[in-house]
Amino acid sequence: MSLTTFFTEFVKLLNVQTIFNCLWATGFGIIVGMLPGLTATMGVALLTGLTFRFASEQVVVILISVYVGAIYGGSRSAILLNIPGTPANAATCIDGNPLARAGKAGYAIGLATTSSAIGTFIGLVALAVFSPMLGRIALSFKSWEFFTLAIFGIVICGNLTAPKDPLKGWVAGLLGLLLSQIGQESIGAYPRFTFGSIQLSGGLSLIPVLVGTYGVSEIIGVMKMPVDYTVSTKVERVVPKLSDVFGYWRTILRSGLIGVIVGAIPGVGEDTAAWISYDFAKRRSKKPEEFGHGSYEGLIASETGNNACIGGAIIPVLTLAIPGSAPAAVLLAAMWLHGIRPGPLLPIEQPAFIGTVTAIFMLSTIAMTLLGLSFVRPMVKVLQVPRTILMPIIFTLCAVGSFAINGRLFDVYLMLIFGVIGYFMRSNDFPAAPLVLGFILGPMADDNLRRALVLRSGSLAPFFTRPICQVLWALTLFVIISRSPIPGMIQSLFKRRESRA
Amino acid sequence: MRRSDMVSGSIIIVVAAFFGIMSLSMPWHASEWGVYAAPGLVPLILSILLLSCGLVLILRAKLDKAHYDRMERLNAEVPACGGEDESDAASTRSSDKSNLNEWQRILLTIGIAGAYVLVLGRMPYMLATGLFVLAFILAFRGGSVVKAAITAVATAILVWFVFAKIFLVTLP
Repeated sequence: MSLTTFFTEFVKLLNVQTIFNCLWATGFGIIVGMLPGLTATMGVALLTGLTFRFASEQVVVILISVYVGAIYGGSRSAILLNIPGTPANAATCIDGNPLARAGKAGYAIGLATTSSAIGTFIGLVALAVFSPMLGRIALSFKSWEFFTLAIFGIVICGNLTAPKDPLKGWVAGLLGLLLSQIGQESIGAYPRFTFGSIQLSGGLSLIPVLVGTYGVSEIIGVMKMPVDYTVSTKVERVVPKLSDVFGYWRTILRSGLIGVIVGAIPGVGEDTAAWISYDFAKRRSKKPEEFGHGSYEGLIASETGNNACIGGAIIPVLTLAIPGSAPAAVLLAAMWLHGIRPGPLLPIEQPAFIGTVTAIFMLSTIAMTLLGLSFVRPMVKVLQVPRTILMPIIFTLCAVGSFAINGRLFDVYLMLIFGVIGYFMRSNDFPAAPLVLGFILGPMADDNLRRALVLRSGSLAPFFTRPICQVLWALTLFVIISRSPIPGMIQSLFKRRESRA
Repeated sequence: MRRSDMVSGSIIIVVAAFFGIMSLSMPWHASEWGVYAAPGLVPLILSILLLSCGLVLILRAKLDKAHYDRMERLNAEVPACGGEDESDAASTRSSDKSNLNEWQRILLTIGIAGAYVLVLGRMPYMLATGLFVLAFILAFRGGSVVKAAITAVATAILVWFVFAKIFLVTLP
């Protein structure tokens, strides 16, 4: 993508309606991200339903702005409350909160804002540079590659989103794939698992499932806790010194790069990017002893990493129609709903679209920086609203968002059911991201496996002879073998026998 | 955790078996491409994989005590985050004075939300929303009746106005 395309698309965005939508959506994102329990995925899913009647180009502006705002907004509660606003900001707590306790809350917020802005910028540069390149490779993808890619995505996502117990990540991914099979299939239009219900014949709608899994389950989780929180830290100087930010340019570049790479891996999102960036920064730092005690470098690393991940997560969305993270999955679904068809053919069908998305990123980065540095004290007030008042209001928005797309109450029931399922999954350490990724990739895996078998009269050979498939299978098998619990089980079985003997 | 993994594993096996049996009952030779294009092919493969994962989960809970010891160690190593430290900049307080335990709070949240979802479409949207917010705040003793009523009325009107009039969204 050329710079001219980028500037042309950026200038096109400079109208009152787009700027207004970008500003309120970024502000909404910051608030959603800031409130513990409400995630970026929930914010994007909620607004997908609520803005259903908007023009498609405005919807893309709104959803990207919410996404950017929410990932950044979570740093506020991480710094002020030691509670990450979204999972992406968990690493921010470690150094952000000690800074707040040392009386530098405002300064920590300023540093987080600046590094988030730089991170998002690195992400958008990567999006502009790598999307057309990956797009060209994606044109050579056929059914065999798409099926293998879906399996690879689920295995990698399950492994990285449940690092302590990948088996539970894979279970969540398989469950998502299986649930996506409900409804009429694409080859023979046979209604699968519908039990004669017309509501089920169209399949489970993605937005109610997502709003339930990420929104309602979080509401239940928040209401479970007996205590609330208050902010007692004073917020003073906000704008950071340039030397405090750019003194760590190596950390910024490294974290940005890590964020982009982690983002581009299917389903693996901002939380993983932030942790890996933080870990690398600590290992490479000249002052590792300061990490955990209010290190500027640690805070910068995690916030640059999680925001750079956004651009990375959008790359596979645009080129392969495979989401790089859970909020990107909702963005992909929203694009489908509004008639935009991301995938290998996007550069041919809508050649300017990658440029438009990059320009929207730029606009939302500017909005985030302005809002982040200017409305610090009023926004902190939102954290003081008691959850017993906030949560029912959010639930009503979830219900409206789920209902809005198809206009049927069935989707609101679905939202609640998935909210309960999501809550119990999460409380038993089953991650939600692979479930969502499986739900998105299910139809793709189904269509492409059966199409591939039909094309070669049932031969499985092309799955293992085509070069891209070979690489993907090798990586998939490596992850399964290295992280499978079976060797550990066999080992402990032998130990038990030995001890009995 | 071992017990909860046993329960999760059993549920997964039941779900996978249900989907697997349903897949087998689908037509397998209805199309000209036979079994390769059969609607039950992919769901059956997925069910078998899910069933295997459920079995491994149960077997691990039974056999691999070392795994759970390792998990406990890993959980203990996670850096403090979430307000455990009493000297935190943030202090905790309770906005609800309901004295309910965790399970009661979960069931109450699901119960009130369930009731709201069921009355939607059966009574005017604003009335249902107002009653839901009122019931929620009062059930968790989040404020006085007057405060709860004002919040309920304001929420119902604002949600209706913003979404039905500005966003032009259809309300239940």
